[in-house]
Amino acid sequence: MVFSSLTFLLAFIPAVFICCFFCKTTAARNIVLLVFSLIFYAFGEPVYIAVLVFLSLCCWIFARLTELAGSKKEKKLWLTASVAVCILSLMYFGGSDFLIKIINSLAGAELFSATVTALPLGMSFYILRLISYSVDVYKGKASAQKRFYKVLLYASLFPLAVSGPVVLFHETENELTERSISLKDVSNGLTRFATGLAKKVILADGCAVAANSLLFPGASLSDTALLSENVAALSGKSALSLWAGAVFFMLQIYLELSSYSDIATGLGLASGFHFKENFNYPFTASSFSDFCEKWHISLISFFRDYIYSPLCEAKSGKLRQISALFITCILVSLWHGLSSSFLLLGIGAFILLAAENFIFAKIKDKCKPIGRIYLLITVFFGFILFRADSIAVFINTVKGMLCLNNNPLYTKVALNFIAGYAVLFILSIIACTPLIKIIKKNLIKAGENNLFANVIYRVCDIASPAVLIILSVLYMAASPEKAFGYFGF
Amino acid sequence: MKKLPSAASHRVIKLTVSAAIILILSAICFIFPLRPTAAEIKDNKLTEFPEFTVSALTSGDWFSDISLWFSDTVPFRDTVKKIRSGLSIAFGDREANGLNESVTENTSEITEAG
Repeated sequence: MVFSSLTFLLAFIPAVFICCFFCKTTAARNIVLLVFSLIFYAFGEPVYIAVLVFLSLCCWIFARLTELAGSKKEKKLWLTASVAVCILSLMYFGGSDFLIKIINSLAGAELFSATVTALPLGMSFYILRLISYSVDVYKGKASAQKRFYKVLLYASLFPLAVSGPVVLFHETENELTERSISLKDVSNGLTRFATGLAKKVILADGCAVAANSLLFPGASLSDTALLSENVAALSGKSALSLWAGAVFFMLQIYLELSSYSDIATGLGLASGFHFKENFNYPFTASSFSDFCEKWHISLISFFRDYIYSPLCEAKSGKLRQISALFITCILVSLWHGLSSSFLLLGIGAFILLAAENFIFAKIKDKCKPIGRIYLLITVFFGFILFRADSIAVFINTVKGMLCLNNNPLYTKVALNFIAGYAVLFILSIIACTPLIKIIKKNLIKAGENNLFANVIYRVCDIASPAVLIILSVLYMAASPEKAFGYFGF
Repeated sequence: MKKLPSAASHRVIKLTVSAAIILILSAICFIFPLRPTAAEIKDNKLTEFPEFTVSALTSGDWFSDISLWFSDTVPFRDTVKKIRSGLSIAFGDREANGLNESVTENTSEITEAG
C-alpha cells in the first residue's frame, strides 16, 4: 500500500482512527496500531511480514540477553549478534543480486542466478530502527522491552514504513508505553498529513511526469534497468530538455521525501507520537555540510550518532576523524544501494565534507550567497548521477546538457512542454522554501491587531486541509498509483 | 462586536471540517451501487474486483488489485476525470508519456510521443 492511494486515505486511515477512537488505554491503541501496521505491510507483500517479525523477534531476544548479561564482553556479543542478523538480512535482500552479477561477470559465466529481485517494503528503514533499539539497550539509553509486541510495533509502525523518518528507540520509548493525544496534536497532525499528501500527489508526481518525459522517452524511474539502454535515445534530447528534466527530478525527489515525512509526522502526531522534523528546507543551505544538516535529518543523524561518533572518539586526531567520515559516507551510500553510482555519490559527499570541515572550515560560512550557488550546483549534478544510476548515462546526460552530443540547444516541442508545467514549477519552488510558513506567521501576527487579517487567517487555516484533501482525492481517483522515487529503500 | 472563536474552538472546527471531508468521501466510496462498471464516455470495461486465489494472496497481487479496483471504480469517475483534466491545464499534463524531439536538417519538427 502507498500513502498516495485512495485505499489508504479513504479506507485504511478512517478504519485506524475509528478503532483507536474507541480504545481507552495506550496499550489498546498500540495493539490497534500494530494490527493495522501489519495489514499495511501485508497489502504489498504478505510473505515478507515473516521477515519483519523474525528480525524483530531476534532483536527483542538479543536485547533482553544484552540487558541480563553479566559482563561487558557478553553484552557486546549479544549486540554484535543482533546487528549482524540485521545487516546480513539487508545484504541478502538488497545486495545479493548485485554481488551475484559481479561474481558471474568476473567468472565469465552464470555461476549463480539471482534469487531476490527486490527489497521488502521499508526494510532499509526498519532495519535501522531495530539496530537503534539494540544499540540503545546496550548503551543503557533505553530498557529492553519485556513485551515483544512493543518492539514489533516500533519496527513496523506504518507511518514510518515507506520512507522514515528514522526514529531512534530512546526518543520514542516513553511514548510507546504511555502517550496522551491532545486536540491540538490531532488537528495539527491532520493538517500536516493533508499538506504532505497534496505535496506528493500534485507537486511531486507532476514533477515526476515532467522529469520522465524530458529526460527519458517513456521510461519510468522503476525501469532503471532499461535506462542504460536509453543512452542513444538520450543523445537526441535537446540541452533545454535535459536541464529542465534534471531540475524537475531534483524537485521530485525532495518533494516526495519531504511529503512522506510530512505524512509520517502528521499521522504520528495524530496518534500521540512526536517525531522530529526530517527536512529543513535543504535547498536554502549555504554549504554541503549545512545541506546534510537539513536533508533527511533523521537518517544523517542515525549514521552520525551510531557510526561516526563511536568511530571518532573524543580528542581523536584529524586522521581518525577523516577515516570515520569516509566510512560513514560509504555506509550511507551503500545503504541507498549497491551500485557504482551510489558509491560515487558517497565518495563525492566525503570529498566535499572533508574539504569543507578540514580545509575550508574558516571560510565555509563567510559568504552565504556564493555558498548557496555552490551547493545548488553540487547537489544538482549529484541528483543527475542518482537518477542516471550508471556512470555512462550520467556522462551522456551531462554531455547533452552542454550540447556535446550533436543535439540542439532547444526545440519548440521542449519549450511548449515546459511552458505547460510553468505553474507546477513555480508552486514546487515555493514548496521548497519557507515562504508559506513566513506568510502564515505574518498573517497571525497581523491578526493580533487587525480583525480582517485574523478572519482571513482563520478561514484559510480551516479550509486549506479540506481543500488539499479534496484536490488529492481528485488526483488519486481513477489513476494508477504512482511509483515513489525512493521506493527501493 | 462579535467575538471570534477561541483557539480551541478554531481547532475543533478545523478538525471537524477535515475529518468530515474524509469520512464523507470514504462513505461515498463504500456505497457499492455508486461504483461504475463501465466508463460512460469511453465505454471501456473497468477493473473488476479481483478473484481470490492463494497464490494471488501470497504474492500480494490480490491486495494490489483491490487497491487498483478501489481507485479505478471510484463513484462519479468520469466527472472526477473531467475535473482533473481541467486541473492539468494549470498543473501540467499527467498523461504525458515521453517527449519526442525529432530534428530534421533545417528545422525542428514538432512531434510528441503518444
